Parts: sequence; structure tokens; C-alpha cells
Amino acid sequence: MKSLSQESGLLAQNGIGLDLGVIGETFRNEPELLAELVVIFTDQLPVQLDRLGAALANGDVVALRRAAHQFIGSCVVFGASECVVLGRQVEACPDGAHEQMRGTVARLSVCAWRLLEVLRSYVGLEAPGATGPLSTERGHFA
Amino acid sequence: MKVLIADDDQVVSRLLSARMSKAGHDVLVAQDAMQAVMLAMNHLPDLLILDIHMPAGNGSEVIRRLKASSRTNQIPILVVSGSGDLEEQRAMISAGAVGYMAKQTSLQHLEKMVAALLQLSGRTVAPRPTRPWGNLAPLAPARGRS
Repeated sequence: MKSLSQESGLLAQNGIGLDLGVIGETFRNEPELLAELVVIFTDQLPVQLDRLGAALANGDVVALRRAAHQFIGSCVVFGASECVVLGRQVEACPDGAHEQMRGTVARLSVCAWRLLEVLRSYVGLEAPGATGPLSTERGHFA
Repeated sequence: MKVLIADDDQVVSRLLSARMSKAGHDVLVAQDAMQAVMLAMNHLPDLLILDIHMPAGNGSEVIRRLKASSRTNQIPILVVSGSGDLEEQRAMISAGAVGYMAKQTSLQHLEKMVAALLQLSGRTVAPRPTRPWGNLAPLAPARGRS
């Protein structure tokens, strides 16, 4: 378990509490697999964030919880603790309280894009949004 | 061994699939509950690794359907969930799952759990047979045993 100072150190390092050392250890002999997972995550993330946004706009708390739950799975794989914490907050949204989740979903969106940016950089891929349609997705809920 | 992975998160299912293949298993992947039931019925895997929250029905529905059929009720089911909720854990075990793991659990732990479950069900992981003479014909069943 990481100490509080380690956690805050990681937060300061990349803004999302992502421990690249753990990723490096987990995928030590499988850099190709990690790169493949990051590419899958790149495709998956805009869809997941759109689901969160649509659920929020429709006031559909069940869909909001489900979308948050789906988002958490990938974040757990990458050890993105801050994204997991925010995802859990949205997942625990009480009935009728979706409006109160707007700020959390916005933070989650920013955190998720930052996660993708750090991961792509780590595996040597171009930053998301540098070219192409991803750039219009950034800050979707901000 | 044949392992069926049912998870709609493609990052998770690809990772599990890669790790299970590396461990020598044949892997099938389902991306929703209905597909999980169909694949389980058609391929009779030695183990089902099942996420709870999926499109087209949830994990408990998958367990209920597989346990209701004499053809599939012996398939061991390991539930892997993002929540780790104790009530959910109890419900899945009561429904017939042989194990429950939170997704936060390390991959090494999951791999050990899979190996243990396959061993418990008498389906130990054996090295793939090598046939230096090539694939001449499928192995014939032994005669006069029954």
C-alpha cells in the first residue's frame, strides 16, 4: 500500500496519481501488450465519456452509475487511482442526485484525458488530440 | 484448458485473454451476457471468468441460466467485479459462483486463483501435447473401458 506522501508525490508528478513504476513492473516483459491496451483505451474512452455525458444530460442515474462502473474497469488495469476514486463517486450517485455529479463527472473527464495522455506518452504514442477528432472531445464536460 | 472470459470492457478482456493464453489456455471472449451464455453452452469451457455488470443482462442472469441447465451447471464460474461489494459477493456465491474477486486484485493473484480452480475441479493445466509425427489423426478414445 502506498503511503500518503507517496500518493501526493504521484499526484504532483502526473496529476492523476498514476504510478508508472507499477505499470512498468506489471508489463515488464510485455510492452507490446501494454501498447495494445493503450490503443484500445484510446478508442474506448470517448465512447465511455459520451455515455457519462448522455446519462447526465438525460438525468438517467441508472445509466450514469453503469457508465461510471464500466469506466472504472480500465482505470483499475492501469492503476489510475484518482480516476477510480472519481468513478466510484459517480457510481455511488444517489437517486435523483445526478445534478450534484456534474462537477465530479467534469473532473473525471479531465482526469481520464490526462491518464490517456500520460499512457500514450509512456508507450511512445502520439499525444491524444494532437491530430484528428480526439482534440474536439477534450474537456467535453469541463 | 478452455477459459471463457465475459467482460464488456475491452481493455480488461484483452488483458485477461493475453494472460490466460500465456498460461496455456484456449480463450473465448464474450462482450455481453447473452453472448456469454451462448458461448458457454456451445463450447462448455473449463472455467468462466465473469464480470457482473454487462450489457444484455447482468452476471447473475448468466449464472442463473448456466446453473439451470444440466449441460452447463458444472462449469466453474469465477466472478470478477469492479465493485468488491460484500453483498454482491454473497449474492454471486449463493447463485453458484465458485469464487469472487475484485478487479483491484493483482493479476498474479487472479492467475493463481484460476489455476487453483481448474485444479480443484480436476482440470489441471497440463502442457500442450507435442506430436512430433504431426497431426495424423485425432486421438481415438480407448476401447473396452466402459
